[in-house]
Amino acid sequence: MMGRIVKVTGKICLSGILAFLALTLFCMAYYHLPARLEDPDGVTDFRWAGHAFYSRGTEGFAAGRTNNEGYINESDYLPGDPVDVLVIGSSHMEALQVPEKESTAAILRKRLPDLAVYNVGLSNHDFLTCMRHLPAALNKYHPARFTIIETVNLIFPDYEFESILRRNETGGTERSRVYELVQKNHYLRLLYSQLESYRKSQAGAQGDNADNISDSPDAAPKNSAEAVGRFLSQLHDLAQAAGTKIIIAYHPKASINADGSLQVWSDVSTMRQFDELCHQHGIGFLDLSDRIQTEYQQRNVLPYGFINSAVGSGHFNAEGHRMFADELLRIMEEMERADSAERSEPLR
Amino acid sequence: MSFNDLGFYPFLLLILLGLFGVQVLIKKEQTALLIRKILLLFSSFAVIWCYRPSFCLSTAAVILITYVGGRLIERAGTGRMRIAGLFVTALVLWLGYFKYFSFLLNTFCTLIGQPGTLIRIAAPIGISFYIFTAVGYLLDVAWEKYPAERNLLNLSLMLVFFPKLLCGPLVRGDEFLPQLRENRRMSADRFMSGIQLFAFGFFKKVVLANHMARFLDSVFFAPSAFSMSTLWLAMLSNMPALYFDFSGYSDMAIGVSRMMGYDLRSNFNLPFITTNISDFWSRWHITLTDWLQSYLFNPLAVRFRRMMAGKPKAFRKKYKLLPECAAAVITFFVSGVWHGVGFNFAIFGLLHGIFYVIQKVYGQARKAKGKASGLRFVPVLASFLLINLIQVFFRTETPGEAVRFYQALIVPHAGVFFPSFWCLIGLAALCGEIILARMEQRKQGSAELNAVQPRLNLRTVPGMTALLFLIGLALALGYFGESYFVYEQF
Repeated sequence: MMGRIVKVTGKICLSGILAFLALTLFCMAYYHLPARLEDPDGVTDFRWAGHAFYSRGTEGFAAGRTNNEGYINESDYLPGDPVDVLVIGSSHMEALQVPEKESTAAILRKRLPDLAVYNVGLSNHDFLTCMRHLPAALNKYHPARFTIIETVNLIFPDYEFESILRRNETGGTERSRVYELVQKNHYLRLLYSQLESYRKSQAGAQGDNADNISDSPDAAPKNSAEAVGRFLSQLHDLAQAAGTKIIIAYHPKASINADGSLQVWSDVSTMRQFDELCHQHGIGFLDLSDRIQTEYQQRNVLPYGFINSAVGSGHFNAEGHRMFADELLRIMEEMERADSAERSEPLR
Repeated sequence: MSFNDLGFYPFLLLILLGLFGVQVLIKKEQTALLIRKILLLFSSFAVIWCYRPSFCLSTAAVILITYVGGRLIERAGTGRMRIAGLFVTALVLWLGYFKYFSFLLNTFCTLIGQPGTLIRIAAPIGISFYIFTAVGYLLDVAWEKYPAERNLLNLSLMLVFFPKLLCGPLVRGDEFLPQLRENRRMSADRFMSGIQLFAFGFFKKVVLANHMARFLDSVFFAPSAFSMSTLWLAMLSNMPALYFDFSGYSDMAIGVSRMMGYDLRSNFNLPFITTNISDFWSRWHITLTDWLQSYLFNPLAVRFRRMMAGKPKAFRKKYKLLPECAAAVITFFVSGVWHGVGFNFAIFGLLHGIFYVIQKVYGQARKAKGKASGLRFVPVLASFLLINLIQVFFRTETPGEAVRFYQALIVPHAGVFFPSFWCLIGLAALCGEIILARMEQRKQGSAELNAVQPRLNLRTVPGMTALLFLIGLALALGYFGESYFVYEQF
């Protein structure tokens, strides 16, 4: 009897190990993320391992390699290399869902052949996280022309605007012990991600979109002109000290209404105010809302969603990256034209 | 708490361990049987409690009504049909109150130009299924197919046995009650058979059905936003998505029951190889079709034939299909409204009834003219197309939305092009299932084409590895965002 139990248990364990190995092999193609490492320079919360292979089939289909620093760029970065345009942002800029050459940074690189464009966009880097690390990023890369900060959300409590630039954190966000353990195996990482999706759906949150930023449930006042103005003033001073120009690039979520029209989820008055304040403080501001609407109405394309995920939600697809890059170029050219008295070289 | 919830699995494991413990530790058969049934009943009510505690009271009331009704019918002698009619009416009204009262009230208010009501009555989970089971039981007792069940535990379990509680399959008294009376034992063979059926059902649901539903929900919500090719893909994927959802659930329910030692009937058998409506319903939601045929269609057809018996011979010859067709239209209408609340469901049912009638009449005409049967491939595709077209009413909220969908299908317009990867995979999986069945049919040399059941040999390492790989793959590929079992709503 005992012998039989041992034999059956042995078979189950062996089968489990074989199945696990097969699933791990499968995930090496389907869901392969590099190891997460600490970023010693404090430019971002974390970095991927350098020169590491990645692949994603959960949303879009894409594969590539990180550069030496662990960011998604076509080439390595060596200390002292010039950077003209620095792209900071969330998983939209990280662009693991599209081939690297279709990402916003790659499109900018192609259309600005004389400028060095460097991308440090990473998952879970919302606007506040990007701001916390901005001084370190500017200090390291010294972007000579522009620093683009991509975000899906610009509505925060005033106290966040008041304090964010003063924090100057270099440390990363702590991840749970469980995550640290599972990241050693691609299949376990995928299961962890699936569990997070399940938990989000149970909590009623929208699990689809990048980085799942939601408005703070805080009852504190948000986006008052004074608080935002002071924040932008600090940001301008920071940028000026670093010799760069800042562009805050905002792209809201969008969804299709029952009548076929497109609903862009943007607080128009707040964004208009943000735009005016940015203009007053010499900061570029991009709101992709109008472009999203125009592209939908004229070409029936949506900036988010993939054929193996959901319609119109999730991360930037190839069309979304193209729209975003187009608009960023337009903003950069406008800022250059407005600043042409101080510059001798055109943008391109 | 259903197969969709993570919390269900520790619960299931506890129940299985409990049943196994009872089987191993309690030697006295009758005691073991009693404890086993109490454990199963307690588990079933625990599942109901998790949805809403008050549902337990409603469900208990139905059980008691059914139990008392069965006993009274049996004792009634010649008046049993009248008493059966009384109890069946009570149960149907009970179902009607929970499912249709708000809708009917709102419709009435609309008709008289008054504002509707915001009252929404929450229907107890599984009510459509266990009320139908109860009605079937009472009619069987009235027709003296078997005696009324004296053991309240057995009857309760027949109605609310938790694996089948939410979405069936429907059970019949003469099939399930004998199993409950026996001291059914868990066995290695049954467990292995059950777990692999469960795993296949799980894969169908979380990988295929859930992913396809994400695309279909978007398209059916706003059809005018999408290109014609996208709409056609959505329309043709609609029924397959429902098939993976519902058959996935059924497989999981049957698999869990089998692990516990109980046998439930299969609910699906390659429904998309059919060439006509009646054949489709003999392969789709088989237990519901069986129920409707036994308790509605056959009695109605017999009654209508009796009514025709008094008519002139020429009339009877000319309209010989009338009783069957009239019974079919009513049965399909009831099937439609059983599925959901709304005029679109009624139209869904009626359309099936109308096409059934056309098929019957046309089939007679072809027989009369001596036409040979045509190429089967074309009828199968035509039937698939027709069923998916009718299914649009099932998917939309109102008949108006269905009409707008049809318009968008045929009126050329520009829109978002979205070739859903998972819908294409789903359609390929359907073809794969049919090809496998055909290969099996040739191998066995059988006349009928039937679905292939999973037959992994879990006593071997390769078999066990394949099963664990399948479960692991389902967890990896599945969509675990917001999802639900479609038939859970009914």
